[in-house]
Amino acid sequence: MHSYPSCQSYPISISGTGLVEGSKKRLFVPRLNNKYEQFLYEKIEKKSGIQYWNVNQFDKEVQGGHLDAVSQAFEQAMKNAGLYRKINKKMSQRIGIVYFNMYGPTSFMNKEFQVKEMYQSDVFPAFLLNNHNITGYSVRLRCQRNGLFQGLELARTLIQSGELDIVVVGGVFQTYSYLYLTEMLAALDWLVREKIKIDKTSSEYALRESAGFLVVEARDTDEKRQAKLTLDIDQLNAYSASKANSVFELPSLKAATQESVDIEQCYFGLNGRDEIAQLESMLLKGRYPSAKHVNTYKEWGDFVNINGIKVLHEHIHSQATHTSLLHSIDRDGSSWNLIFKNNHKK
Amino acid sequence: MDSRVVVTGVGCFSDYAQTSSDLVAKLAQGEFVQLQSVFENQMLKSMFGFEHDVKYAPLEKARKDLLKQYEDISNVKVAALVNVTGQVLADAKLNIDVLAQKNTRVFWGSSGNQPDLISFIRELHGNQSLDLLFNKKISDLHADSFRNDTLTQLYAEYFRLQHPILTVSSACSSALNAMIPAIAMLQSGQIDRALVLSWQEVSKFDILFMSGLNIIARQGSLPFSKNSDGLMPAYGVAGILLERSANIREEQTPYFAVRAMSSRRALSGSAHSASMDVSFRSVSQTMQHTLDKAGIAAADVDLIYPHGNGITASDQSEISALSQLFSSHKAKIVSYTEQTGYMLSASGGFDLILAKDAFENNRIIPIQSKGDLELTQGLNFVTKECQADIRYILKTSIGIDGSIVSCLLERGAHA
Repeated sequence: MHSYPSCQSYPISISGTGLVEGSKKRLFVPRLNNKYEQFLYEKIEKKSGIQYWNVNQFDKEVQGGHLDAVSQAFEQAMKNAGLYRKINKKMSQRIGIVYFNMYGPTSFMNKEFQVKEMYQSDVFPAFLLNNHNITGYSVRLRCQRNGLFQGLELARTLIQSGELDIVVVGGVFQTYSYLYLTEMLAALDWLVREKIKIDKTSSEYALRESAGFLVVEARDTDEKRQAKLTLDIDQLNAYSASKANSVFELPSLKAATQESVDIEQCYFGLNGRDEIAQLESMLLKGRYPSAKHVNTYKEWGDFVNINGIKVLHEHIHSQATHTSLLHSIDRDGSSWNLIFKNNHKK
Repeated sequence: MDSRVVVTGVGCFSDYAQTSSDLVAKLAQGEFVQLQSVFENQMLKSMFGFEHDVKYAPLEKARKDLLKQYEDISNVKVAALVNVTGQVLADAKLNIDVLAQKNTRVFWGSSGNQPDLISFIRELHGNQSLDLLFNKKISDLHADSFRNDTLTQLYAEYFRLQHPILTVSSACSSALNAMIPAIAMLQSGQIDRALVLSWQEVSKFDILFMSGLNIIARQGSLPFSKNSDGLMPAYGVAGILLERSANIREEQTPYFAVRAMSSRRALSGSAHSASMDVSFRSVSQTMQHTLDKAGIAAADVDLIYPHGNGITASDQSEISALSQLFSSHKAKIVSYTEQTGYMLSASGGFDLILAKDAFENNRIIPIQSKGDLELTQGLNFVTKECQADIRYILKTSIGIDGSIVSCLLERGAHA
């Protein structure tokens, strides 16, 4: 078991968040002219018991398309951090973006073949740079549910090395039937491989389209800027399960249960499957029996790769003063612990 | 403690060359990559709306060999990455077990896993029972075909990695951009060793995308020549091992040090358009920033590897930037894209292998081109093999997303 050194000696914080959620509710059913979609739908129903896919999509009238939602969430985060229209030429090179989406090159392919949308969706949403005058190191991550954690780690590395002063981390989740159906099928197959019994009691699944961003900076920088709402990142640790025999021996969960920090709130369930959430809950409750335990899927539905941003967004806008733990595991075996607390200015 | 970051191992795999020594030898002999048609037949070509024959170097020949060599790996992309990893570690005189150590981390610079486009076309147009029966490829439309962690998981399990792989993408500058967090982690002492792999698969998805942007060559890709009409994509995997100088063991050779790096984004003119042609000012500013970081003057640079992708606007922009900074200095310039094919995300990684040869042998393998190289006038492009005492090499990569990365390499202290 190993984790990176905690970032206590080089503290970073989040000084602004933006989140745009889809508001168009619909019940997904497979299209009549699409046999493959029907086949996947039926296979999942048989394996997991899911009969109702409740999907909140971006509403064209309200949020616009997924790129509009990205633009709005980014702007919101910059406004919350007090950076909107304040980035001058000197600052411009010291700010970067770490962007992620869930499905990479396939993200736009349920529509007509549009090069411009493909470019902005998959290559990089360059309009974010243009609209906000950002010219520092900016990349897209190729990752899945753990995008936020990889993004935060990269942001921390870039800030601590002096490459950048501020990194805006975030991305988008948009729903595409064939993608989330096969995604769910892969998740169920993964549970079988990991010898975890599939829970068939829940017949509904709630998917939430969303775009979210966090403004990350060194703690002393946001203090100098006098950012009003700040969330301090006390620890961010990455683990790989390659050496664990099963998910029951996940190093991140072991580490979480061995933390000496007094955790008052535990967030988990970012994986989207209740079987994993139960495992996380069991271990975390054993270590922190008096803490409040929040299964994010049960609380808000599945925001997929935006789950973590949803947690931090809700937390920073609350008056909570306690220390919290956010745990996440992805199917590639990587898992993460994030310990944070609000540090709002009076 | 010496916090300099040095390169101790290199490796590569492509249609052109399947090892780093093979790459150097073929370039020295003036060989060009063999290209083949993207579309197997006229029907497919028409289906995608192409009138001309699009060519690329897709790693077709080597695929079977790779799968035969690594029988325990089912995915050919992962097999190529494992092959290059083996080359890099052997070159660095390290056992593969080091990857499973807690002080080692793996970085990928890549656009990531890509599904077969044909599956999507069938999905888009709807499908019936018979389609599922006869078009087996439709089931490629599965999470396993598009999830990046399908690949990272296979790789991490193979080498028993202790940390998640960080996959960074910034189009064709991905290879160099992946080095920036690796170097930062090394210098901060978080890790002692970083394997940076850059890889690019050229799928029909890429071809259609690049064709939509009108940047694929119809006649020929001739970087730095006026009659070049685009780029010629090629599959490629390149790898380098970065270590802190202080950690180098006696039996290892620090080929060269990464003295400074700089990464920038060029803003495009229109708020919602892609930036296809990066302005020369942004390129020269990024190079100048790298030199400033290193405390080196333009006059000190001995050799430059430009990006040189064959897109005339991009090449012209790069030449203008080079002229601005280096026209009155000694720096020699050379590019091998036309010979190897354009490796897109992995292109920067391949040039670092050539840097090793330049430092080791004090030589510059000349540029070979079927074009006239009109754009190179006034600059010191190397057209004949020459010996040179090289201390500093500047490498620049440009991404179609407006990213520009510049990297200053310095001869290792040993040499």
